[in-house]
This record gives sequence, structure tokens and C-alpha cells, in this order.
Amino acid sequence: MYIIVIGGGGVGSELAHNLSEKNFDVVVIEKNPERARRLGDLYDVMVLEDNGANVLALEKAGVRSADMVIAVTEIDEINIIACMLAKRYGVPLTVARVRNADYAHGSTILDPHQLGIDLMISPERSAAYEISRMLHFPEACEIEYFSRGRVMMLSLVAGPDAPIVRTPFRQLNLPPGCIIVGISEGQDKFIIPGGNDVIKPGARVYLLGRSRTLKDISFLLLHERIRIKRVAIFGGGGIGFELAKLLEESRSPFEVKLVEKDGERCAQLSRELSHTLILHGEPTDLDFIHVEEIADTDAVVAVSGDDRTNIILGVLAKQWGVKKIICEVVDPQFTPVYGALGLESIVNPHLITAAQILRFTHREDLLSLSILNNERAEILELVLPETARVAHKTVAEANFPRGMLIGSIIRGQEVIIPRGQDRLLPGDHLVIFTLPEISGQLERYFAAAEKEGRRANRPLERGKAK
Amino acid sequence: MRRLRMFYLLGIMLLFLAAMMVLAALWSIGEQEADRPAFLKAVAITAAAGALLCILGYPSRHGQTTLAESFSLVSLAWLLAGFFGGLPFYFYDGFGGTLLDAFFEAVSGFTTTGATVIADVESLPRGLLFWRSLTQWLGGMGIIVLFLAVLPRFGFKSTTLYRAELPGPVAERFVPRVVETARWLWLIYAAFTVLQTLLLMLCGLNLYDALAHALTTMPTGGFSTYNASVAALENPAAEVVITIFMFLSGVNFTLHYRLLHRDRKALKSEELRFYVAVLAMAAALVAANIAPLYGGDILLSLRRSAFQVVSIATTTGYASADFDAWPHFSRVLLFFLMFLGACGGSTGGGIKQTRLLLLLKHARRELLRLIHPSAVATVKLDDQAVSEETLRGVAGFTFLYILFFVLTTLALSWMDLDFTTAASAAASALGNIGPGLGLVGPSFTHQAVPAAGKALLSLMMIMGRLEIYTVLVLFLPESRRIFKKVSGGGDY
Repeated sequence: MYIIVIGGGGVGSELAHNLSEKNFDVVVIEKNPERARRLGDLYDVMVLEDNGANVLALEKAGVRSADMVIAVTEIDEINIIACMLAKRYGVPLTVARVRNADYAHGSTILDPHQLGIDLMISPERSAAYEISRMLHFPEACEIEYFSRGRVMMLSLVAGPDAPIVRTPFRQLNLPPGCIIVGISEGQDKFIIPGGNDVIKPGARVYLLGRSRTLKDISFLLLHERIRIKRVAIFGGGGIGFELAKLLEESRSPFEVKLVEKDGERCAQLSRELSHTLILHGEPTDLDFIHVEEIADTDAVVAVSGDDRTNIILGVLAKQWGVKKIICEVVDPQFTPVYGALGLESIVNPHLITAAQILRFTHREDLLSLSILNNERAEILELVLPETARVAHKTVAEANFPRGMLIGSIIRGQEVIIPRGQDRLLPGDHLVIFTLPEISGQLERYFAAAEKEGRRANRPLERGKAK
Repeated sequence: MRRLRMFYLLGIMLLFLAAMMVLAALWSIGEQEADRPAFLKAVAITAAAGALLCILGYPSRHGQTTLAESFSLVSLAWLLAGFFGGLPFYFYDGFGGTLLDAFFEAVSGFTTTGATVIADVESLPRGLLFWRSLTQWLGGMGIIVLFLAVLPRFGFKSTTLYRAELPGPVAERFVPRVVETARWLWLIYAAFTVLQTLLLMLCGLNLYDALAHALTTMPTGGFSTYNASVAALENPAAEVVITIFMFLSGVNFTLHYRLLHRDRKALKSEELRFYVAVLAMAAALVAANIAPLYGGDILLSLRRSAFQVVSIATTTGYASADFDAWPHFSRVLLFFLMFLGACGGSTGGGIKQTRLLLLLKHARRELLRLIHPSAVATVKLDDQAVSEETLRGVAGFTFLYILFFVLTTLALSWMDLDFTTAASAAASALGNIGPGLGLVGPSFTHQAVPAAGKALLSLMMIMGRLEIYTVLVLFLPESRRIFKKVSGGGDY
């Protein structure tokens, strides 16, 4: 697959990294010489120093034979124009990062497809959705929904007194309808458990199963249920604003305080938000926090756009005894720091966006894909084609490699947590949990035997042969 | 000669008034026509004055004008309309009043106040009575706005004129051009008037009474063709129809326009909801208060209270009962409703519901700031941010309104009027309502007010109608500089 990425900022470089690792051919168009050089040095991609909304630059990048154009510069209009141009060149898939929601939903006469955009993404909005989900289900560090919310994946930290801790895996007595798909310990260890593996206290456990079952299962790992009502958001940037808006629209009532240090931005926020209390002040000014009673809250969301501030806020919030702390990771380098300080719930907008786009690079029968725990695992939902290798086989017969696990089968209204003898039928929705090292093998098991149909006119998919 | 430019438009206005007088005089044909000489004299003088002004102003009718001229034009137009509009009354033998009384009557008409000095309205010939109603209808949507609608181009800044005459804190436009907006306003206004006339006729009124009452309901005027106002009709159905149309004319006309264009969101307007809530609550309270007076007849007291509350709150000023004879609570409540008034952008007067709503929201924000000194909050109406300038304007206006009320009340009590009479007459004149309480109550006229008081009240009526600022700028010595400030300040 030949992919052109326009814009080499946070999302762009994350994509360049991720896509080149997956053996795609990637060309990055970046205007800033400094950034362009750095990208070329770090990843196995070709870098063009140019403006992405420029026809000549696109031609030079090989837009005529590209399979996909991803425009993720900071400027909405450039991204939209780049996609429109790419569509005119006949590029099958275009993705644009568009911050301003009005472009996506504001008009009834012009939808993104008419603009030539197949997928419109906004890292800020996606991150805000993610955080909002966490606030609605505060016990979990990560939450993903599949099959229109019927199946859900949760990750939780096992408390020291939890009943499932220190018991060999095969003796665990989980309620029917759910399964532990992964365990992560410390910085690097991530396993798909079996037989004699033991969950240690403090480990992060990944559970997959029916949403109804999972919502009550937290007692296995934790203490009592937490209910979040008061939320303090630090940082009124894109994520902070989108989150406040989501919480205002939410059915469960939240009392939201939003702290922003820029006065102009505060005024703008107060015009666009209605119930949120907007406070003008430095997020790390302790006097200010005391006077405005910000510390007296159920949840702290640190989305200041600066890792140092977010880390300080996270640590402070721990000290205040806040029930739920969610931090935004701006630079992925700092991810281990958050972990080391015990800040479990982190959100990386670039990663979320990259996952959204990666879903697009896969085949069309892939319904969703999420990257977990800083790229240590992937979870995806797909429809099993008639001609796939594992169709009509039982799970045992399919003989999946270690590191690949069918989490659930959704067949019509039924949600099955598969065991060895369960059969995979064509048309089933499968939720699959894999480690990134072997995610390249997914094709072998689940892809249709022969390509046909909608994208027949596309050039051969290079780099996917593996 | 820049001042002459104003003359042209004023002249046209007077010619137009003369034509309207002729229209009113037609109603007397076939009767004893006692008012024919009065109308003849008035029409002749008005037309002559108009023609003179036109001729003087004709050469300089085009070209740019200053804001000062535009504001002065509006105020002058209303003063002149009051003077010339009063002539038919003055020349009529049965009127029996002075020139000032005639001026008061006409100003009360044009400003849609509805206060009268004529004790026996029923004795007036039909032509004169119709003229009285017609003045209210012409003044309701604004004399100048009418000209904007009819005359597409003359040298004046139509934007300023529109803002100067239209009530409410923000002069909204719903179509891009002011002229087009003015046309829509008049169209909606006229359509409602026709509809109400037809409905009143269905209730059993004759064409003359139906039209006369429709002409004074839509502008929230309140002149009736009977001494006892609407009570004299003794027609419950007509009372209900009038209540509904008073309510409608108290609604922001922008909402009418939007509803006409199937914009259902217009019903979600905060001001509309506030307006309905205030009226409903007041009507319920008054009904409970007056129920014993009507022998516990809930329906009758509800009908009476709804009519009176809507009539006073929309600043119409009809009476379907002598509300001055009601218990204290009802009288006090009605007195306060005089200040509240109708919605912004309606034909009603008063401080306006929008302003009160904005002040309430402003106060709530100040309260929040006490405990959260760093809070940044924007006052919003219908999810739209309201600028600080508008808020300052609203606060300033409300202050001036109360100030003029206090001063007028003081001046009237100096003239030996009792507190109830003085206060209610002042509130009623500023709010363009009409009747007050005490000696100016619904069963009396303003004849009890001395001449100086009538002059003062006439001025207050124009002040109230033009929302104070427009008139006030005339009195400022450095008016020119102030004019610029006003224009720079946006919608006050």
C-alpha cells in the first residue's frame, strides 16, 4: 500500500512511524525543514519538504499511484483542499484531520464525501470522547466498545485484595460471558495469559465480554464502584473544550470546572459553553486552586497540552485524593514517566487518531481497531468472509498462534465467548486481540481468499504481501 | 444648508398625515358630519405645512447625513406628528380642550399610550374617533420605520433611524436590508390587524368597532371607541380575541417572522418563554386575588385577570373591568407590570422583558463571581453570547427609565396629585400604557392632571416610545460628539 501523509506534526509522525513499521510505503510531505529532516532520520519514510495543498508537491509525492492520502496538518483548510485534490487524482482513500466540527456537521448540502474526504478525524474530539468514556466508567483505565456497544473491552488495575489476584489462571472462576484477554505488568511485559499465569497485584488486566456482564465485574479486581460527579479540567484547548461540551451534553449530570490560563481563550470558551464554570488562572498555581476550591473534586483531567504541567497536575491530584485522574500524553516519550508515577489513565490523542486511520488501511471488512496501552496490543473487530481460511473451523482447529485470541463472536443477537469447540461461521463478527508483532499474520487467517468487489480498480497492494 | 435636508422628510410625513386624516374623515360621511370643518382645517394646515417643508427641503434631499441629524429627525417627527395630529381634535367644537389637550391626545395616540383627556369618548363623531385609533396604528410600528418601508431611498441613514425607533435592547434584522426588514414588519403588522378585525366581526362586532379595536390592539395602544373601554362591548368572545392579539403584539416581531417561515426553533426563544411565564404567573395570582370579588367564579375572574394582566404587561391599556377597584395586591402587581412591559422588538413599551431577563442573568453572574473571583462567564440569550456593551446599555437604560419615573412622579406630586395617581400616571406614560390608578384610573381621564403635568407626561410618552436615548441626545449641548459615541457603542 502506497500512502502519502501530509503534515509531519504529532499525528503525522506517529502515523509515519506506525505505517512504516507495518511495511507500507510512506511519503510524508512536511513544510517545516527542521521537522522534515527529523522525520527522515527517525523512520523509514520518504520526506518531501513542501506544502501539501499544492498540486505539484502532490504529483511529486506520487499521488497518481497512491492508495491513500492522509492530511493531518494543523490547518483544517489545507487538509480539506489536499483531500479534494487527491480525490481528483483518483486516490481511493482520503483522510483529513478537521478540528472544526462545523465542517463535518454544520451543513446539510455538503457532506465530507462531497468534499472528497472519506474519513474526517479530529484528534481532539476523539481524545475527548475517550476521556468522557473513562469518566462515565471511572474504574477502567481503557474502554473500547464493539458491535454497537454490546461487547466491551476494559482494562483495570487489580487491587491487592481483589479475589482474582495470585490465583493461577486456570483456576480462576470468571462469570460466564467474559474473558481475560491480556495482562500487562510493569513497563514492558504484556502477555496473553493461559494456564499457569498469575495476576499480580497492581497489574493491568484486560477483560473482554458482554457489556452487561462487564459493568458489574469490577468487584473482582477492585473495591466499590466510583461515581464521578465533579470534574476539574485543566487546559481549555481543543480537548478541554470538546470534553466540557460532551460532559454538558451527557445525560448524567456533571459539575465541570475548566481552568485555562489565557484570558482571551477563557472568554471564547465561555461564549461557547453553557454550564461549565470557566476559571481563568495558571493550572499549577496552588493559591488559585485553593481559592477556587478546585481540589475538591471527583476527577481531574489534565489536558494542558504540556507534559510537564500534566505530570505535575497528576501528582498533585493524587495528593488531594482525587478518585480519578486522567492525563493527556503529548509526547509519547513521556509515557513511562506517567506509568512510573502511578498515573494509570492516560490518553494520547495522536495514538487514538493513528488507530482510527490504521483501521482504514486494513481491509473493508474491518469494523474497528484500537491500539492499547501504548502500542503493546491491538484489538479489532471484523466480519469473517466466506472464503477466509478459518471459516467453518472450530477455534481449536484454526490453530491460532500464541499472541492472537478470539475474544468474542457476535452472531446475530448472540454474543459468544468462544472455547476450543466453538465454530467460526462466515458473517460472524469477531473481536480479536493480538500483539502487534503478529498482527501482520491476521490476513492469513481472516482475509477473504481472493480480492473482489468494491476496490477492484485499485492498484495491487504493495507491502501487504507479507 | 444641511438642516433643510431634514425638512423634506418631515414635509413628506406631514403630507402623509394629512392624507390619513382624510381617510379617517371618510367614516363621518353619511352622518351629521359635525367634524367636517375640523378635519378640513386640520388637513389644510397640515398639508400646507408639509408642502412648505417639502419645498424648502427639496433641493438638498439627497446626500449624506450625520447621525445627529438622523436622531434629531426621529424625535422631531414624533413631536410634529403630535402637534399636527392633534389639530382635528382642537378644531372640533365638542372637544372643549386647549391646544395642549389636543397635543396630549395625539401624542398619547402616536406613542400608543392610550391615555385620554376626553371624558365622553362616545360623543365624538365617528371620523374623529377613527382618527384617534388610526394614530395609534400608525405609531405602533414606528412612523419612520413606515417611511423606510415605503420610501426606498432618501438621504438618511436608514440603519440609525431603524434603531432609533424600534424598541428593545438589540435592533434585530431578519433580512439583510433594513428597508426590507421594515417592509416585513409592516406586512406582519398589517396582516395581524386584518385577521383580528375579521375575528372580532365573527364575534359579533360591527366593522367599525372591529376595525377601531384592531387598530389599537396591534400597536398595544388601548384607545377604545367606548367610555368604558372593552368592558362596554360586553362580549366575552371578543375579550378573548383581544387578549390573544394583545399577547401576540407583545411578542418580538422577529419571532413572528421566523414562525411565518416555519422556523420552529423560534418557540424556544428564552424571552418568549420568560414572557409567557411572567404573564401566566401574574394572571394566576391576580385571578386568585380577585376571585372573591366575582363571587368565587373562577372562570370569570380568570378571564378578567388574564385580560387585565396582558393588557397592562403588553402596555396596551384596555380595561375590561375597573381594576382600580380590585384588592391592593392586584393593583400593586399591575403597577409593577407597567414597568416590565412586553418583549423587545414588539409594539409594546415598558422596560421590556429581554432587558429584565438580561439583568437577572447579569446579577446571577455577579453572584457567581463573589465565590469564584477568577470565573469567566458570558451572559447568553438563546445560546448566543450577549456583549458586555449591550449589558451596559441595558443597565444604563433601566437606570434612566427608573430615574425619569422618579423625577416625573416628584414633579406630578408637586402639582398636588396624590402618590398613587402621580406614580401610576408617570409609570403609565413612560411605559405607553394609558390608564393608571387613582385619579387617572380606568374609569377616569387624565383631565385631572394640570396643564404642566400634561405637557410633562406627553414628553415622557415620547421618551418612553423612543426608549429615552433617542430623545435625550437632543438635549445634550455637545450633541454631535455624543451622537458619535452612541453610534460607536453599537446597540445600546
